Amino acid sequence: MRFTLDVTMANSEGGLERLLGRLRQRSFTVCAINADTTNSRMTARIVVDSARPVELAVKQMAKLIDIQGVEVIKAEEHSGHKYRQPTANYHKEHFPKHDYRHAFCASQIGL
Amino acid sequence: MKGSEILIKALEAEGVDTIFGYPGGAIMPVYDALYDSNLKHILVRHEQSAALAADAYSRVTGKVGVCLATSGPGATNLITGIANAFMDSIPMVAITGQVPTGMIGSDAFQEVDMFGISLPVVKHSFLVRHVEELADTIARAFKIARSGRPGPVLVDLPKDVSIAVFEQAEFKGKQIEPMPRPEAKQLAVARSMIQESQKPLVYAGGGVRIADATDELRSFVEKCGIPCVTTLHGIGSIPGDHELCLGMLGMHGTKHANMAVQECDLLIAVGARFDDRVTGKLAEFAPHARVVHLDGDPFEVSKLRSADCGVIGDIKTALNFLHTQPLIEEWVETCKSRKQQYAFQYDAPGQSVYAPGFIKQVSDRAQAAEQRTIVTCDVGQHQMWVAQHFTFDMPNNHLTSGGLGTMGYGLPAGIGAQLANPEARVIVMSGDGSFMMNIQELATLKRYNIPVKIVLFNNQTLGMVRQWQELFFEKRYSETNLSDNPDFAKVAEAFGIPSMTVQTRDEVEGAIDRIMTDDGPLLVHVLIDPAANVWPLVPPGKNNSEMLEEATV
Ligand SMILES: Cc1ncc(C[n+]2csc(CCOP(=O)(O)OP(=O)(O)O)c2C)c(N)n1
Repeated sequence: MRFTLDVTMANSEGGLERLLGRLRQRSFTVCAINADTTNSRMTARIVVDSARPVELAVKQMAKLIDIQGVEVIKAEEHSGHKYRQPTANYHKEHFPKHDYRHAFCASQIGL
Repeated sequence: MKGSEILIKALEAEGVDTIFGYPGGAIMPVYDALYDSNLKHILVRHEQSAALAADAYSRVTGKVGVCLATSGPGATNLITGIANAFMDSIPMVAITGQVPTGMIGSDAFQEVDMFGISLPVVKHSFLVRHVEELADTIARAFKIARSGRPGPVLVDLPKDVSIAVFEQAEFKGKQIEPMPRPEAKQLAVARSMIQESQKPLVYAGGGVRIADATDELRSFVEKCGIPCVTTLHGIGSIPGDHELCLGMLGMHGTKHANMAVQECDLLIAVGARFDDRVTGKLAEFAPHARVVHLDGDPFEVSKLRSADCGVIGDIKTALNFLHTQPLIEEWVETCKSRKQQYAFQYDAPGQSVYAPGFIKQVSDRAQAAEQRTIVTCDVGQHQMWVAQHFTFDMPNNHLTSGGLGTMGYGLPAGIGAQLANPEARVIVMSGDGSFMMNIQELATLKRYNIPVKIVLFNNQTLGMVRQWQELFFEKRYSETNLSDNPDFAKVAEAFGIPSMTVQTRDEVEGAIDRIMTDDGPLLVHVLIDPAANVWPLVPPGKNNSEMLEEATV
């Protein structure tokens, strides 16, 4: 499966490298990336390919201190067939501080 | 104030009193500032030990452990210890010297990209480029290390920053982000699942210790009357001799614990992460159970096994809310009678020392003593024997490298633990392979006269690997023979550490007397049968009901 993710993060030293390393280690291959910085923020659109569920990528990214939000904006099979959009989006502002409790209930993501 | 002095003040503001380290070029300004400070610095003999000792210091005190090393090889030597803390969720701040900012990227002498090297094994990392940021960066590093799911944070400090001067540094003092309260709705669902269950089982992991929730776990287990199994890191979160404690589950778990898991209809995972050493074949783990998963880390819930109810947030609050009394008498009786039926036996034939029996005897003495006993382990068969045969009543009395499985953890961890609690009796249980990985720390014991007792089980082999070769590699003993070991008792003596060797069973009691009463450091060199194995054993990739036992192999 191929997933397109929109990521918002603090623009800190090594932030993007940390993000890409995390994706690689969890078996998500980065196929395309487009990133930009504005003041203290970085936004990146990343296309990843993996046999693993996208929720894993979202969770692993959300664990990083710099990450402020991750949104899955597209999920497609290699044939180009589009899938229903997964619901595992993550936004720090919805979950103040370390409070991500609503974010990943099994019922929501069904891993 | 110089950067190095800001660093010391910032550490003091975080409540740090002891740090473990080793000096070198790029970190010299910090060592110069340490010279006049009140911080206690413990000079270890290898940077890996600094990180491992800081890890143990943290486990025993509950504070953030701190280790210090120079750039290049000093920094890379820390990596294993940092990774160990990462895998076991130990709050730690590792400070490394770096070449001056202007020289970063020039392949300068002793320059390594420590920030880059450490990325996958830290919770977060900082490269401090300006002295103005230093105090704030240290405060952030500590806050990140101790908040949420704890972990190690790297602060890489270039030499020019530590000598630069800045007068307006502000020190905030300890900060932590509180754990969120679990959601009422999830708690209500969890409670009714427990109430309805007929064969519930608590599966307690290292998260109980991290959340400091042992009291809450115990009253939950007792009020509900539900049997409990623990992971390697959950050991002690319920006393090992508690009537509802079924012991450790998983690869080297007890038969009754694994049987309970395979039969239960509700698994209440508390701060546990369904590690592969615990679950065996994941798809066949607890096959009849619905899962309630309590965890402080939202990203652990449903990571490997889908939870029917995830309760995320403060484990203490959650456990206190979940008291209820399911009708499970028959189930509890089954668990208890199996516990008796499958209890470990210590009547092994022969005259050679039986390691599980030795450990059990030390444990019995420790339980009878008033003094707190802390055991640190290395990795291998002896580590599993400690987990199986030593009865712990607190999780932070059992210091073991569970996630990374770091041979060499035991002795530095013993040093960290003893410094964290000088009143405790600290016993390192090690194997002849592991002990050689940080044997140089005998010099640290001597230097500070740290009264750690070392029990070195010498089977002249890399026992755990040898066991797997015997069972799964057709007895092809490739590179596991250590029969050319040095005479460890003599080695200890050379370091100035008293030692004794135990060869037969009738020498055991005298040795344990010394372990329990000697005032200073001691090495007890125990010769054991090279062919002894750890039983029972769930072969890798099998499900937990397919245990191999000594009698059946
Ligand atoms: C640093 C490191 N290298 C290798 C291993 C793999 N390993 C796991 S257990 C073991 C054998 C340990 O031997 P010893 O310390 O003598 O303990 P025993 O199993 O004999 O009790 C080895 C080599 C490891 N865990 N850590």
